[in-house]
Amino acid sequence: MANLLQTAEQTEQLSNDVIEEILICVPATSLLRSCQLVCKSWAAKIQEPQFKNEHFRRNNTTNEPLRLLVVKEDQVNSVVFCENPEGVVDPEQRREIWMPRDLGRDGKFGGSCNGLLCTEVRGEITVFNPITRERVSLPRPTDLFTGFGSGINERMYTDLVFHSATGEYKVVLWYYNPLTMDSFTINVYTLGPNSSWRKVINSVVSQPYNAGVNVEDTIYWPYLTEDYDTIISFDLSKEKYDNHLTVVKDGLLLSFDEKKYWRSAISQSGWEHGKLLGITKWKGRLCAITFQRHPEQHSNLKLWTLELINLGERVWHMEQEIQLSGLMINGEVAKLGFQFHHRIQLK
Amino acid sequence: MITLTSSDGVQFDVREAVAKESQIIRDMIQDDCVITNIPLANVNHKILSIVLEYCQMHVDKTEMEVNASKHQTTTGEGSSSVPVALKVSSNKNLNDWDKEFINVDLDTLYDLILAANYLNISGLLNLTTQAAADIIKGKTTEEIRATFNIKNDFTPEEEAAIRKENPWAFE
Repeated sequence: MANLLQTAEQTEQLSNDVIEEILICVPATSLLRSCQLVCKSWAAKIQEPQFKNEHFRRNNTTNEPLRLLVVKEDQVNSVVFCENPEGVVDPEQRREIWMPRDLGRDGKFGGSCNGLLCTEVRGEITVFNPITRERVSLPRPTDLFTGFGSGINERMYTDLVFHSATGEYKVVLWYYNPLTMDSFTINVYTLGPNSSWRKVINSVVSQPYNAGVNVEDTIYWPYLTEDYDTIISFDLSKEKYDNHLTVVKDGLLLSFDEKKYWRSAISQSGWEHGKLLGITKWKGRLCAITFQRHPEQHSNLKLWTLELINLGERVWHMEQEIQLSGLMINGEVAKLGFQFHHRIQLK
Repeated sequence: MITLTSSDGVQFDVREAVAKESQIIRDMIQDDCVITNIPLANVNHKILSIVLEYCQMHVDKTEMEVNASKHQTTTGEGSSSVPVALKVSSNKNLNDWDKEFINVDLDTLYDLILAANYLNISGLLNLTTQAAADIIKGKTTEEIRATFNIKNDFTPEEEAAIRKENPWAFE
């Protein structure tokens, strides 16, 4: 006859496990707002790194990097946080979190992924967790920043990315220093102990303007200029940069080589040349949305996905064309919305 | 049939398949195939009957599905739409049933969590811990303490330190 008797010690251990099982299912804001003040053992549990990792793993059911929504793109006084990605469309489910004054007031948005936020204040780059308020200040890349803040026309752009192959968070930095060079360099900082800046690419002419889209550890950024729109990319594993992905022409996505400057011309059919509105991730692929306008008739939106085929060859597929009556969207107003759960939203 | 005896001595005769919803009983039966009576020292008869109701329902539903898919394979493609519909509806019903099942008072829920953890019934453990998390979700610290009968062991200084660390959370 079997016996399932347990000692008091085992029972104690069990209820500890049970508490963990329950707390794993509780949303992060609730854990921090009320649960961690319940008692010492709950507080200790919630602060455990393993618990945090497990909580993130179990609650990130979409398997997509969660993005923070930044209220103002140039400054980051506050960010909107939403525990349920589906709830982004529902103002009731959003929660606005104020940033610390030193990061928010003068901070520039420098990318976000998995709910973490990167800000840049006068050349100081900080990775910040708005929920736990933990922060990591990155060292200044001293060999690069010769005169930041001294009025020299330096330019920089950062993005925070998650490299899933290595499980590491990385900050990718474009840096332009007019004193020493005439193009951008791409630099990478991997978050973790004993890390430092590494210059991985020299001489890049284009700089991204929006947060990147991570598709299988390659980051894509839209590159929009007066003359042409394209998409630039950086492969995190090979640390390879590419600006030959595509341009938009006649509402079509073409390879970069065909013709570089075309925006000013009007095509024969009367359609204005297309414009790249933005990129996002859709059904696991990179998705681009283009906008094209006919001066007298109507406008259309086209939705493209990028398929990677053998030998690194890439093909754009047009997935959908949306006719817009009238000239509803112009280049200024049109802004690509956020994409969650395979839904694209225009706002 | 296997006899499960609760901590307060009540015997439950259940089919082996039902008892085997518990990983710990499944392992025991595998190790020793002549087991017919298992005493469960940590589960009283009230909780055990609820746990067994859950196991019984889930075994029945799974068997129904297996039968339905057997039916599908033996009768050929012509009638395949019927079993598929059956399967879908049974899944839906089972979720509804779970929802109704877990609508219990807090003491019972806590005992069910302990029992599901002790007997290692993963489906029941997920169901019950999620239900407990849903209860915690909307509550203040004081309400959580009261609900789970937890004593506040923080000194006022320690509590203030935590509040200071996450000031936004306590606005």
